[in-house]
Amino acid sequence: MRSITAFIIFCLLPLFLFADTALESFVKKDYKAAENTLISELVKKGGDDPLLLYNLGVTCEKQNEKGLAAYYYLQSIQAAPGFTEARNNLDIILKEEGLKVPKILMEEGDGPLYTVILFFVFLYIFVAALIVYMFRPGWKLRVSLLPAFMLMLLFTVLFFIKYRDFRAESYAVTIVSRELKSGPDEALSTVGKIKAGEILEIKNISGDWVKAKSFQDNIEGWANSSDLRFVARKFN
Amino acid sequence: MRLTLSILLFLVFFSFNIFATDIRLRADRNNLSVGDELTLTLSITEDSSDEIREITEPDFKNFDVANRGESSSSSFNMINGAVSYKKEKTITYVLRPLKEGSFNIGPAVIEMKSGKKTKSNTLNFLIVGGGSQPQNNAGQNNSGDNSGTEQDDKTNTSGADSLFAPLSAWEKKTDKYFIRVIVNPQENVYRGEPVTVVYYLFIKKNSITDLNFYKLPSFENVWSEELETPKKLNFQMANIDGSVYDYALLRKYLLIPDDKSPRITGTQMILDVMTGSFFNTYKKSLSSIAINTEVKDLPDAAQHKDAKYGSFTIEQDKKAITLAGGKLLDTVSYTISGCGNFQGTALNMPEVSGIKIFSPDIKQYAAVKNDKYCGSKTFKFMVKGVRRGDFEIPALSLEFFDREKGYYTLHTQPVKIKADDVSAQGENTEEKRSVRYEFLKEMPAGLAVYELTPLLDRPIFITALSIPLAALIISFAIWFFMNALRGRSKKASYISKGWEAKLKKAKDLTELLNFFYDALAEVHGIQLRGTRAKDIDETFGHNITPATGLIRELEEAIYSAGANAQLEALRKKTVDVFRNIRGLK
Repeated sequence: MRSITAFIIFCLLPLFLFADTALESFVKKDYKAAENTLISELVKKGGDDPLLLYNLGVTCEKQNEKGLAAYYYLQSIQAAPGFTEARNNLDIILKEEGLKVPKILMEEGDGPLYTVILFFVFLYIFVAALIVYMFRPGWKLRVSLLPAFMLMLLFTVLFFIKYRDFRAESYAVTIVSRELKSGPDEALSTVGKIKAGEILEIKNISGDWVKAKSFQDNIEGWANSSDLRFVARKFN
Repeated sequence: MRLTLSILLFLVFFSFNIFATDIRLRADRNNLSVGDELTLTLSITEDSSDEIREITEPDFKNFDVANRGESSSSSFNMINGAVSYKKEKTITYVLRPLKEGSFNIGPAVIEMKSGKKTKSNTLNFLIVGGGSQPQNNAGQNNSGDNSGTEQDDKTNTSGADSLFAPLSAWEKKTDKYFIRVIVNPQENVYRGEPVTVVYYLFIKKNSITDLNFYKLPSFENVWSEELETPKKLNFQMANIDGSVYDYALLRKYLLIPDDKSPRITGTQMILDVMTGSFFNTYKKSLSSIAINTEVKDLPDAAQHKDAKYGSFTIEQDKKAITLAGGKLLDTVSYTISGCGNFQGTALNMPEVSGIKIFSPDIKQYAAVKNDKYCGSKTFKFMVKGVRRGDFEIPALSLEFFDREKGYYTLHTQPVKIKADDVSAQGENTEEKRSVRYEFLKEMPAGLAVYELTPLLDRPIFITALSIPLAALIISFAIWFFMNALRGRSKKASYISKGWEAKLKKAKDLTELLNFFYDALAEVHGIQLRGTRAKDIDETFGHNITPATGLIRELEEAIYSAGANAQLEALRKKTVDVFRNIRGLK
């Protein structure tokens, strides 16, 4: 039994040792294998790598999966807004399919997160003042605590408002052409159709179903989340 | 006595089981032609002592299931003192054979919660070829109608009159309550022509006690929108064929046929209705007809390939645009107003060299009025100059077809564009790259890469937030601990000071000595009163010698003459000794 197991492992070993990289599979036109390799690498890197996302888009386009390709290009642009190649390829798909993309998803990054920085600055100032006051109480420190606290509170509120608005604006890409339903159930009537690559603004989520508004024709309806891919955006 | 009681109990128990679980298949006929319909009934009689866990319906290979309805009933009966309880479930199928031959249907199987399985009988059908025309003829929209006679089609006129038309054969099957479907237009529907489908419930008074929607219709080959979804049914009265009915709107839909399919199809609407009295309730399925309407191409469609159905006008907001003085972008809007196929109406801008025209922002406002789908649709294009110069967006033409006007074309005006200011990028990249980039081995240099993990989930954010919090907690703990210790020592020194004050104010040597003993005991826990000298040395060692020396001195002074003359000096000495014990000073 042991010798049989060892023999099987020995036969399969080359598959692991000499597995093709994604590029090699792509060159050999084994696009499915390339896609699988890229996905496993992307998972290891936490899903943020714009190069892997871009290459996944190219691989999906080769397999004529335009919806999935549009999603990967768009996601790559979120991670690297200046990535011209991804923008170019996405533009071509959008033009070919007659699709629209909201401007907010194509914006370039605008530098440091000022509200976050100021939030932390005033938080640290307030906490430091409070600690010093605990051990060396004095009227000067007591007077400075209130403005420090107010500024910290102001920037906390500003930060969380900005973050809440950011989280409220969420988008998804349709990967398979489907119908939009009037409610979160397949048996309900159809209110519209969405095609692969179309971008939706997410309004509500209920279990596996998502209420979304299409950018193509402003129709609102429910779609199954298995037909969508949610776009992860950077916080500006 | 016991025997009589046992027999009585057995009979009562047996009477409840008088109806064992039974499952049976029946059909209205066994010989029919392809295209004919047969009604198959699956009856299940349930035993009160056991419940059904699962019903496996028969396989209908070689048959098309045109309709399926379910009903159940329960009844109590007292017959000659014996109580009987019967629960029946009936599933009715309307089947249509697909080809000639001899086919079996069944058996159906029910599995009880106890694990027992019961099979029904099997039925055999002989199907011969040819036969009557299929019920769903092109041009007839009552295609779900089982009788499908020509007379039914004639009675369904278009417009409001058809709401009160005499009952069709389908509706007569359940004449106390039925669902009526009004399709407008009923026939001669052009491709792209909006069609309204309205479902009404007609009931005779007190014929149903409750209802709920089991299945709403779904439509194929159309763009559809649900126009009315009443939360509450508002009943009105109508007289049909001499009978008074209450009727209410259930649902209203707008359908626009797509560009390809030759017909619009829609499934039945199915309601579950409860009828009967409290002790004898029946649940029945009530279904409407299925929609099957032929769609025809616009007249001479081959010569008018891009024409859409509708009666529209078009307006534009600008005839000229100037991009100058820092203004790099501008917009031009075209608004199409009227009634017709808004969904299919699109405005395609041609490529104009020298300017970039972005995909339009589309806003549509339309509603059904008097059975027409009317409103407006605005296309707002953003225009950007790519290079300096004078350009023109040519006039656009849209062809439409209307029943009254026939074919007609709408034209926009050309839009002249003068681009004096263009973006630097625009001048360099005039021609849009239409070549795809391929697989990349590495990222282009100098690109800013951002993290997409939500900010609140990032370790650095959590760490940055935790540091001041941890510092605050630790500082607070230290401050609290220090205050507690200070408090304790303050308390001890407060008590000591109190005793020092007492020692200084002692009235005589006896009081001084007693105060000294008490102070030592309370502050330092040293009990000298009544303790032998030998024991004192053993317990406290030499550190206590000053105290014991003072006590001896005080005792000698007490018993000597003129004791109070030394009082002041001894007070001072006593205070000093008290302070010095255990390093108080």
